[in-house]
Amino acid sequence: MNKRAELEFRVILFTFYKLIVLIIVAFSLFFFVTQFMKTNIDVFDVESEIFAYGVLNSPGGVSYLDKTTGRLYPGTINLDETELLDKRMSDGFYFEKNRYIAAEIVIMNKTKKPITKPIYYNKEFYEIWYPLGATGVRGVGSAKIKEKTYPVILLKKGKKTQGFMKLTVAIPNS
Amino acid sequence: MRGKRGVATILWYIIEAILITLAIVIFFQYIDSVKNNTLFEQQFLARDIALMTNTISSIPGEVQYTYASESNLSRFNYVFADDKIKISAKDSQSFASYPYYYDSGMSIDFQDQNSPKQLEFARTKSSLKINEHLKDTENPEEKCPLRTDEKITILVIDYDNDAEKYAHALIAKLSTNPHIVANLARTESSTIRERSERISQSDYTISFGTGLNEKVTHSNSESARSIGCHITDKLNSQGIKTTYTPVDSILTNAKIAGIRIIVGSDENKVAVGIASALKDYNE
Repeated sequence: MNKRAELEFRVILFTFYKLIVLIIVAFSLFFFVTQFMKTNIDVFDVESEIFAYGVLNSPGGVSYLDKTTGRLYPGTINLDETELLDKRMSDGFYFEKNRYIAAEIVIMNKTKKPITKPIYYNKEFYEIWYPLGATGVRGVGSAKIKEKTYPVILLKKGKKTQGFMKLTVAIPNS
Repeated sequence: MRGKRGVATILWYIIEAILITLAIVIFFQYIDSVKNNTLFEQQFLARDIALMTNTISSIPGEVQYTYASESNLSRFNYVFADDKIKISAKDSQSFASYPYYYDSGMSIDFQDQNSPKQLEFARTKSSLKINEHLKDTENPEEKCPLRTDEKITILVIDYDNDAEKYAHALIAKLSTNPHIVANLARTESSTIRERSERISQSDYTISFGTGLNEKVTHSNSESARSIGCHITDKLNSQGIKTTYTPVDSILTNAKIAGIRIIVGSDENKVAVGIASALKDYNE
């Protein structure tokens, strides 16, 4: 290779080097800026958590409500009235069309075996959103699901036993 | 030859410098547009307020909370409709919205706000309220203060055929109360003028019109507030959803008070509720 050709080769090599460094710097800058600049607000975790605590602690949830005194027993589920809980929840967490959050509640004994039929909040949409959420597909049109088990007290004919409540919340991505 | 190569190199550097400058300008313009875009802030506030509503609604007891976000709340207008909060910038048609839930057994009073400094949330056993400032009189102990032994004349108005049965059921129930003289005014067989005249001769009016929900409306006079309050409380305690709204504009200038009820459930239950509320008011 003669001297001139060698010089040309070095110039081209340096140009490529500059280009690569420029691309790395641009991408790094973009990466750091987008890390600190959020344009999408995802409240799924906090929303599902608020709903779960509402299910356990509010009068419209699953906890036992003494109708005579009006006293609520948070975390205590009366097994004698579980069949009424679907309706109670759709009134207690009321949307005009119950269209936004859906949930399934499974009441289990202390060995974590289901002992009643599942209780549904917004069943119609739960059956659509749960499979969508299970696919893990992101974006609008899909859904997110969260499953959590809580220890509860089960009340049957006045007798208290230990049990668990598995709550699966499904919320569509919006 | 060497001069030509030098010019080409300089040109190449100039092109590079222009490209880099262009990239920087586009980048900063993007950041600036995101910074100035209030839609993000509206979306944040819509979610935050909706989640606050969900939380307050789920609390097993009474609570009052003043919401004053780090964001300047007064930059936006707030509308509560269709189970959603809708937030829009002043003079703007676009809005961000987010759904909330509440206990349908409670009386809901969410007041739309234009540029509020804060939002106050209050939950009692039977009601959930959002307003910029909640009055102290919302305390349930002070809510229904007035009772009287005076005889009162009530005019019951049915605004359409479907509401007739409600009016008749109520008249039948009120006829057993010795403190009340109840009369019926049908909109089908009377003109507005005739009704206005009969309204002015009565102490109170109770108007029925069919709709999706029960709605109680009354004027701001003390006695009207008290009667409206008694009826709202009684209907709520019977599981009939009621909503308190400001006075009907037709009755604002009238010397008497008015209660308007849009009905949608069992007429006997509504009649029993109102009759029993008026009995409480008298005794």
